[in-house]
Formats: sequence, C-alpha cells, structure tokens
Amino acid sequence: MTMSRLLLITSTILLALLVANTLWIFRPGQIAAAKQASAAEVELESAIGSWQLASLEPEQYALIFFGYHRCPDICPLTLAHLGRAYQQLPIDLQDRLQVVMVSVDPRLDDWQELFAYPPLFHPSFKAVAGETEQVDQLVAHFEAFYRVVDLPSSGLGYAIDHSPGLYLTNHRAERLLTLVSDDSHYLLTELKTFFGDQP
Amino acid sequence: MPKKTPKLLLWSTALLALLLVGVLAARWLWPEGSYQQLTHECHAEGETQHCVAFLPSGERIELGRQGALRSLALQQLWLDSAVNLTDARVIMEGRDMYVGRLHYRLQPGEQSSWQGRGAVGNCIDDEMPWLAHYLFSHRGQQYRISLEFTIRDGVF
Repeated sequence: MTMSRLLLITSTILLALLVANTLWIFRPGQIAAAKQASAAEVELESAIGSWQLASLEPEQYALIFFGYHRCPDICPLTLAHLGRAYQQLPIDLQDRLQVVMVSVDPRLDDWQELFAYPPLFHPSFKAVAGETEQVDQLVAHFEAFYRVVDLPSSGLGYAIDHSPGLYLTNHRAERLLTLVSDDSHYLLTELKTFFGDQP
Repeated sequence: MPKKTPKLLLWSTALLALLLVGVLAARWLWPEGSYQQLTHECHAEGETQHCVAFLPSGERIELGRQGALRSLALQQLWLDSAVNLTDARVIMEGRDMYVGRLHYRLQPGEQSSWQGRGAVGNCIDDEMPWLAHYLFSHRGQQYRISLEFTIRDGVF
C-alpha cells in the first residue's frame, strides 16, 4: 500500500470519527457514564475489609463525606448533625443508607483511629481510606475538593481545607443529591423527601 | 506536483487527528459547555438578593437567593418566569479558585416557578466569593445565569 493511500484511509477514518462524535457515539452522557462506572469500582479499605460503591445492593445508597480524622471543626460538626438526622430516619431507611467518611488524609491519618471515629456519631457510620490516587478519583467524580494548608500555629502544623458536601450516591456512583448544611432538620427533610420518591 | 499530494495528505491527517483529540478533550472537560450565558441585574436587601434577566426572545426571568452569608448557612434559591422553564438546577462554585462544585436540585412549583435550598462553605478562608449558576432550559436551548455572593465568616 502506498503512503498516499494509507494517509487517505487514515484521514477518512478520522473524519468519520469526528462526524460520529458530533452525531452520537461520544455524547457527553456516554463519557460521563464511563467516568461514573470507574468511580463505582474504586476500592478503599474499611474496618472490615475492602469497600467500594459497586458492592452496594441496588436498593442501597451511600452518603459520602470527604474529611479526615484530625479535622478540628467541619468533620465533627457535619457528622454530629448527620448523626442526629440519621437517628430520626425510619429503621428501614437507615438500613438502606450507609454513611461513609472518605479520608482525604490517608497518609497521615492513623487508619485504626480513623475507622473508630465515625461510629462515635452513630454505630453504623464508617470510614474508609486508600491510596491518594483512588481517593482523588472519587473526589473528582463527585466534584469535591481538598487541599493541604500549612498552619504552623496549629498543633498539627497543617489543616486540610475540604468540601463540606454530603454526596448521596448508589452502586453505580450516580450523583443523586448534594447536601451541605449545619442544620440536622434540613438534612432529615431532604433525605426523607429523596427516599419518599424512591421505590 | 506528485510529491505534494502525500505532504498535503499528511498535514490533513494530522489536522484531523488534532481536531478529534481537541473535541474529545473539550467534551471530557466541559460536558456542560453548551449553556448560553445570560446577563442579569441584581439588587440586595439584607440577606436577600433579587435578580432579573431576559431570554433572547425578551421573556423576563426572576431569580434570587436568600440566606445568611456565612459558611453552611442554607440559601433559599428560586427561579421564576411567566414562560415554561425546564430542567432547572443550581451549581455553586468558588469564583476565584476551584473548591469543588456543589449541585443542587430545584423543584418545580406552581406554573413555571422553581425552588431549592443549598449551602456553601470551606474551612480556611474567612472571606470567599462564590458563584451560583442557575441552569435551565427553554424551548430546547440551555441557559445559565450566574449570581455572585460573598461568604464572610471564618467560622471554622
């Protein structure tokens, strides 16, 4: 095959791909679905072994929260409000909802201490941790954020600025609901409304 | 001329490949890039921010936010119009730096009225400007109106 013919064929294929991209094949929804599937497969460690969203039952949901064990303010505040809201959910809804704190400080958090932290706010709450790349994949999927900030005046010498959001998701890592508040009544109302709409 | 054809083809192929990579990258990075931005005017009364915008066809849109300007304080959000708006939601993000994006649903009310609630917050900065992007569709076209508000607290 001559070089001219090879280039002509390649050009034709590329042109076809561009047209296909415009028309259907690479719709944003398709790409988002691929990102979503890979977020569901992210595997992290919990107190009782590996954990991933894909392992949730189809009727189960997870309320993801990004934080860290030594967080002085936003994490305990959020978990306290969430604990109050969660306790007021009907038992059948509690069974369908896992509250999961994902550590954004996996290198410095003591994992055993981390795993023991969320159950202080409700016995069913759990913490998970993993490699930075895996955590970052989940952070990116939920469009959350964290950054390490040097704070020489603090006891730790640093703090982690992070999103205060609670992200309701499922075994497909769909972003179903975002909750941010220091109001446990609001959290309870939003969760009840969401589950009221579900089969 | 016989040697020019392969060269032209080579450049054409390279150009097409670059275009394809560019289009894919843009769709990956900006999946919501097809929203038309509308300008608006706002006025504030205490903790309330009332804004008005107009669709290209002239229809009036009223939208706003009401809530204390501190981290985690709930903001009441609304979007009203005499014309039928669909798929309304709000995305909040930092104006000057990326601190994640918070997606909030707006629920349809009477006629073409949408309402929802949401909050913002971050741990370190005492003062931070945020943008609330109101996204909606009208007659198949997607629109965005971006309200700005500043959180001042350092509550954490």
